[in-house]
Amino acid sequence: MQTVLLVGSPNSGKSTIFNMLSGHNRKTSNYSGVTVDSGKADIQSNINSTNELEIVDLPGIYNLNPGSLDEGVTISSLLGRDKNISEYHQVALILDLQRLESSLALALELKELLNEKLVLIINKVDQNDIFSDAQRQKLQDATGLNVLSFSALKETPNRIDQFLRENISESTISLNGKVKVIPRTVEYLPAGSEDVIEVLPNRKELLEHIALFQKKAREILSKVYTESDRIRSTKTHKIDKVLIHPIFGSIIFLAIFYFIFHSIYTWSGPAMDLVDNTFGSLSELLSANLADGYLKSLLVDGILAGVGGVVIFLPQIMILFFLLSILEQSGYISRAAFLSDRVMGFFGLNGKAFLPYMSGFACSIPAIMAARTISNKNERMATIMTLPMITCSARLPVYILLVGTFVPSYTIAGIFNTQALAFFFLYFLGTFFALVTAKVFRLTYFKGKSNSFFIDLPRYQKPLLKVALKQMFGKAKVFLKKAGTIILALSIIIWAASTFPRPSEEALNGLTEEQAVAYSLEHSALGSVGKAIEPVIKPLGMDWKMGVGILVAFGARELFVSTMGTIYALGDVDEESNSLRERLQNEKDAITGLPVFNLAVAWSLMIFFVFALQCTATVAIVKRETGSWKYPLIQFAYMGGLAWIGAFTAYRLLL
Amino acid sequence: MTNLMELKKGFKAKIISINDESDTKMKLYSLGVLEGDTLELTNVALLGSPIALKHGNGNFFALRKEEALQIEVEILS
Repeated sequence: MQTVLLVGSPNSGKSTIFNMLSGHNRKTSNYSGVTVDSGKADIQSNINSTNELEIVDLPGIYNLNPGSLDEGVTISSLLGRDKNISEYHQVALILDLQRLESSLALALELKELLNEKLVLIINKVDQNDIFSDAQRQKLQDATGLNVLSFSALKETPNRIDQFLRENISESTISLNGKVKVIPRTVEYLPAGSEDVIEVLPNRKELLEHIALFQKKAREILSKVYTESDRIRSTKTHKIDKVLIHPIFGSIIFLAIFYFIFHSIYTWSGPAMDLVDNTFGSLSELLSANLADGYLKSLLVDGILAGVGGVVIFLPQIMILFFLLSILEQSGYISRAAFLSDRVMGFFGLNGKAFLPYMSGFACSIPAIMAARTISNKNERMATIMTLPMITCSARLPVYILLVGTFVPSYTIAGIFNTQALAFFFLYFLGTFFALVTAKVFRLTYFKGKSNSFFIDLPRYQKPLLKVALKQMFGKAKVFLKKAGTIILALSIIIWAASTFPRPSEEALNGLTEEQAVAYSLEHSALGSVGKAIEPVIKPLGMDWKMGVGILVAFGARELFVSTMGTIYALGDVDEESNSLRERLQNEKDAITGLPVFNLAVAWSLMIFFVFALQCTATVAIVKRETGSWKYPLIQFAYMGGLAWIGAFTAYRLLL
Repeated sequence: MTNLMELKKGFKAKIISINDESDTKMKLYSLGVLEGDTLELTNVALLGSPIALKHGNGNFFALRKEEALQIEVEILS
């Protein structure tokens, strides 16, 4: 097995090429958005070849002096000192045709380190940007390196595949000299790198070193290009006049994000009904054909109600990830960072934190990892500590269930839908409190001067539909897998815990069927747990059933929905309603006869979910990224406190 | 001495020098922005910072006011 490292500057299209080249056999993979860790995969053509190649995707770099933790991963991999990469056979540098000058400077710097084991792939040779074969030949002669020009937009990966195979060497790479760094950057490299780096006493020498390669690159390009061949960028310039305009840009920014919430909400309707009806008819079918007993109860009330309650949110998850991918590919995210920098700066963060916050809307885990791109340690910590308050996609099922069931839907001001607005408000609340808490952290625990903000604004790209679809179906697969494994298993456990132990026959004597069911549920194992925690959640307007839902949701938020599905299906005697929504609406208090759920209770629950850290995976990743249990514990405690206070306030205000 | 913050939207300037001690210089160099190059101010965010610039070679980037102050320029007509 021979290893090829894919290296390139950020936005060079490196990860797209990696995804095109990789077969199904992905060993480790990066989350979508920004690459912050190494990802390995077998190359797809291994099926037809005896010579096996492995490709490695690495975070983007500008030069060999790392400026943040993610860049440190790439540099240490190149040095053979990374935990995942100790040796390799070739480096393929992806050059961005739109930034050929600085990409070429990196190529020259790498060439000095690797000699001939470096090949160049010029990407983005698309419709408007031309790089002729004569120019390619000239560049090849001037650098002494093999060059391939490529368009990830228009081509299949075959030519790159062949190019890598033709140029790979049998032997592993040994470095030619050391990498020059300054003292401050040593912290971004792993221990044990000392013998392959040269720490320069002052930055002036390093600056001269970098400038030298930039100048050499310009000199080479002046021979390859004439002035009239230069890439035109008038289109991006024109679009930016509107999109990053201080007023219009901000309005469009808000409009784009409102549109995303609106689409998630409205587009998913028909698909949700389809899933809902399918599970509904399935459970009707089973109910009609199975004899009453434990098996029927387990299948209908346990599994179908639990798993079905979660699977119904598949359409939303797919729409969310599809739209995020389109946005990411277009180059708009850096503009959003530009527009929000002032606000982020006010809260003690910088525009770079926008990207982790943005990916937090999908999932906190990749977002917390993406915080590695923030070079200032205190800003990075403040970002990590507050990120889980950003509304992730796991909260979506809970919000949709409650908003859809209890917030009346009508149109105000002609265009705004009340349910979409409620939705938008929940997202806003999480984000706002994340920022406020970040400010508190920056003023107290993670004090220090604010880091600068410096961002590359890549040219606008036409998003690739196939990339967005791949992303969408990939996430759908993960979601369904979770529903088929963890959620299925938990639904069975929840069913068992709410069915057993059975109350004695005498206890049920003289009770109506309805009362008997309620009595059994209350005296089951789950009922006892729920009753035990009821005093804590009673002030929030919740009963023990919701308490159990919240408790289970500390494992993962969407489990709330499956738990509610199972508990209420068991309690539903007449079996008239087939969906969880109807069951929630029909649930009556045994004593007063009033509905258990009302607007105040629904908001109390939703506010609780806005703040509480209900995700074991997040706790684990925070521990890993911060290297200590202290931070996830602080995070868990303060978020729990906010959740309780927030839910209490909402309940009291609306009651 | 004129710094980059004095440049008006839509105008161009030539970089004369960049403060050696700031991180700004390292970042500018990494993007291939060197002394002697031309920058055009394309946009200014609300309240004057950050600012978006176009480099002579057709690339775009943005930086905060604090960093723009480290860059000494000569304004071109």
